[in-house]
Amino acid sequence: MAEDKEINNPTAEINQLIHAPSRLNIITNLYVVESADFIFLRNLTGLTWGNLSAHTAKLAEAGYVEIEKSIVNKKTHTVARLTDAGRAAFEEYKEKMKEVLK
Amino acid sequence: MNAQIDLKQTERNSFKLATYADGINDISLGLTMILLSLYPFTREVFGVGFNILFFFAVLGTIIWLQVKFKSRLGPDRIGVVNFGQKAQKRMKIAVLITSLLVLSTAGTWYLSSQGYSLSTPMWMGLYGFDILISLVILGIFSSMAYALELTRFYFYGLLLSFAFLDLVPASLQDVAVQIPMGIAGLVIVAVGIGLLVRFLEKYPAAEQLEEN
Repeated sequence: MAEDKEINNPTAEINQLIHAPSRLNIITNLYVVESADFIFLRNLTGLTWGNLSAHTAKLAEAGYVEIEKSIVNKKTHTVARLTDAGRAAFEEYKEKMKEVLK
Repeated sequence: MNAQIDLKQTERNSFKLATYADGINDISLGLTMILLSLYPFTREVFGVGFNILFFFAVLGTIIWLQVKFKSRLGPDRIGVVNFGQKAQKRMKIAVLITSLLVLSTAGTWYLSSQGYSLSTPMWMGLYGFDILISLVILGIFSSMAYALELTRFYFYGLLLSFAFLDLVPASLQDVAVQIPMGIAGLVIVAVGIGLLVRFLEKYPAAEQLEEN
């Protein structure tokens, strides 16, 4: 059964949390920087505030992203950064995708 | 889903958004070129010593305004990003090399304007220094254009390198202003203003959208 699954679904071993387009977009943009606030991420990813919030929360739940909120000039300032686990998971995801697409 | 993730392109996009999207650097560059074009004229007005003070005072003001505007417009519209240590090191090296090239170019240009001459090959003829400086300028801007994928920098490189080639006809040599440089500066300022207007439209302030 597991063998059948492998033949029929080559992406079975892919990290589905990262694989979702919006989250992949977020994690890719966070991977190339040390940290970025939500305004910057929203501009780069093109996601709505709601989507950005929801997807980063999912990534944070999994321990891939760290979110810091602070008040700057009476406004909430939210900064996201990839954790070491997030970077490792993304690198593993890249390798797995290379194998899938070989 | 395209799994071919181009991380270099992603990093480049982040850097371009953080640094060049607002056109403020372009306006600053254009104003500096205009200032340089007025140098011979202000030297006549202020004398050599005060002219240098005036030049650096205005240049300092341009840089101060550039930093001020960027810090006012950036965080609310573009957001705030922190690039990693490797990227910061690369940027510092690029800035250092560019600064050295600019300083050495400015130095040779200044010496040339003071009457010092450098032995140049026969084929350089009348243009001598100007060709060297033009090539350096073209090289700097072309490298930046290539590295950052900013097509307008190729245009700036051509504009500024031609400005240094002393294309002013002999009849206008009495004018104490570097006209080609002034025109180049104005064009670059105009491009910068266009970019700034587009930036303000494309990236409205996000203050009302941040969730508490």
